[in-house]
Amino acid sequence: MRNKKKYILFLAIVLIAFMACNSESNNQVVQNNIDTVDLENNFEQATKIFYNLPSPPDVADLLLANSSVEFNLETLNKVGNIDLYESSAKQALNLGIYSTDFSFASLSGQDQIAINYLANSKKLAKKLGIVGVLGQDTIQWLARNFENKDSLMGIITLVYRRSEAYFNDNGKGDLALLMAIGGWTEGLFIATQLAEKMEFSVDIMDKIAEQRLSMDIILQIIESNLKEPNIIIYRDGFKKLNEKYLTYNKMLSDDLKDGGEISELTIAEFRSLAELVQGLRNQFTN
Amino acid sequence: MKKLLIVFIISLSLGIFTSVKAQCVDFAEKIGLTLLNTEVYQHDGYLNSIVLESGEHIDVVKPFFKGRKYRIVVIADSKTFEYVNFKVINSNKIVIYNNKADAYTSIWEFIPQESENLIISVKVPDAKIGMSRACVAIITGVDSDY
Repeated sequence: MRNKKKYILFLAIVLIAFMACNSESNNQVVQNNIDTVDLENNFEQATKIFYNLPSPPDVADLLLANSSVEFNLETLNKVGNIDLYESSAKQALNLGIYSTDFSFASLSGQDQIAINYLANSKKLAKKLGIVGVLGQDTIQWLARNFENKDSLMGIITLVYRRSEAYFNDNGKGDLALLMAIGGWTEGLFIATQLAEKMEFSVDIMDKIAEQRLSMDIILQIIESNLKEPNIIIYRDGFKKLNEKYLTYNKMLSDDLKDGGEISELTIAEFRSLAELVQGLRNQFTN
Repeated sequence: MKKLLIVFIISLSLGIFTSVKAQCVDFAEKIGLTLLNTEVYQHDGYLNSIVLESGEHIDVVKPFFKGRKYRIVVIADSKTFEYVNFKVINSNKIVIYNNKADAYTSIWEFIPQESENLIISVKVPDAKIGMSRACVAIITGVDSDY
């Protein structure tokens, strides 16, 4: 009898423990389900929204990592073009562009070329009033330590970080955004050129498709800066690029379903997207 | 004389304001990048630093790519706030992380299963008495060897 009571008690404890666990995990599920945010309201009430596009070293790493293709230096913006950039908007755009060129060149082992791009980034930063972003000693140090790619990426991240902070803290948020947009567009432009050389491998085509996420952010930046003439002029170009991106991504996804190959139609769509990217990039660099 | 005084006061205010902003950037670089551990995590180049008053919140919108290992660091320099709450929200408005569940930790590491734009929403709590200010920074990095 006593054993029977103990047995029932044991069963009851196990059952309660089981129910408690079950109820806890149910609560967890329910909590996960209901833990949502009214984004529109959230954005409206935010003191500030920071838009973080992939920075030059990040975009180079995202698009070039594990790629063994030989790099075509002709793709990069010409170092001598720096004298063309007289307005602060063009200088900011090309600060981003040259920073991306530096990142691609250094990742590709083109050391001397990379130093030239770094020097250009420094010159533009100085023209924009950003002082002390990179000392001459740092550039000399770089020349001696070029084999250390992590340090190189650290240096260009430093240039980007100081410039970004300077713009934002001195009421020049539009220039920070232009620098980010220029840097990202240059990365995408280089990647589209590489894709041709890589015979439209799934890897590079997929990486380019993923970058549509940044398109969403650029469109948000433009829509929230409608009063900034330096930004609004690129609205139509990016809208067209976004539409093309949507079609390209859909076609690529359909092609690759069930291990399929990339079709000629998708390649044609990709080329059309690449032309739009080139158009925007030319607007920035010329 | 009165005009001179006004100019002086405005200049002083602007100077103090700029100095506060500069201090905020310094704080973000010194403390934020140390917590990020830049030897492992490559900083993405954004400090996202700002001086916030109690009850205010900011959002960071950023793409995260699948299979990469990220570290997010959220810091505040004020001793008047016991904690800073941050949530990571996906495009379906679902909160995928809330540091409240981890005793308001400053650091979160994760590997996204999908590439998507995420929102890091940071809020400083309401002050118990009066108004308080704090420099807040949101810093992200990716483990380049992962």
